[in-house]
Amino acid sequence: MRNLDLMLSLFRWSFYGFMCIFAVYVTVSLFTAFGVFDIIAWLLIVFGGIFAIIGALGSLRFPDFWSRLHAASITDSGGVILLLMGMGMHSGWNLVTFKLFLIGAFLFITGPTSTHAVANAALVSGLKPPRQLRTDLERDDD
Amino acid sequence: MPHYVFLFAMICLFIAMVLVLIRLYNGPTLYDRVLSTNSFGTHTVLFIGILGFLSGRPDFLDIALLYALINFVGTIAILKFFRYRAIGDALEKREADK
Repeated sequence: MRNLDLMLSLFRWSFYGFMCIFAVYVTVSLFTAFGVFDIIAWLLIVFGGIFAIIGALGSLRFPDFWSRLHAASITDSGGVILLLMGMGMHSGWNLVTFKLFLIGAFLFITGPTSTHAVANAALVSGLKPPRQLRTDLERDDD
Repeated sequence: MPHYVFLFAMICLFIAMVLVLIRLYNGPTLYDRVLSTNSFGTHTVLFIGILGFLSGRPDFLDIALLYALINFVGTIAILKFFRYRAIGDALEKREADK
């Protein structure tokens, strides 16, 4: 009896799994047929461009080096991710998607690394954060 | 319709590159300029990718990948040069002086 219950639950859960895969397949097919992925790709690309402008505007207009660092990392995270995802969704599944994934993975690793290198060099060279931030840091040290 | 979207993103990236170049020109400290150089490189990578999609040849992504590599190495090299005033052998000399 116990073996029969095990077999039945195995069949049931494999049936659920196949139904999930089938539902995903049908959804992707319908989305591709009605052009939903193209619309998502256009939205992603437009918002990526807007994020790039926001990051550049912040890095131009912010008053301090440390806040400019924050503004420049908006482009490094939001703009890059949105634009590369939009381009990949527009191109479909081929070699271009793999290249876009490579660029995204590389920028995802090296963007924070270079930002950290710039910030560390500025802090070591004696460029202090503004007073409010500095008192917060000293309070955290205590 | 895709052409207009790519053209919009390209114009946005162009405006962002011009703003970053203004910050690069009159940044008060050295580190503002290094940060602007790095950000300009990231914008250039995206710009080359969008340009490839706009002209119908996505093979430009190879150039974008190469530019991303060179951009990272260039940022680290600039920072190391202004820290130690030399690219290659300053670290061993400092270790030997200690």
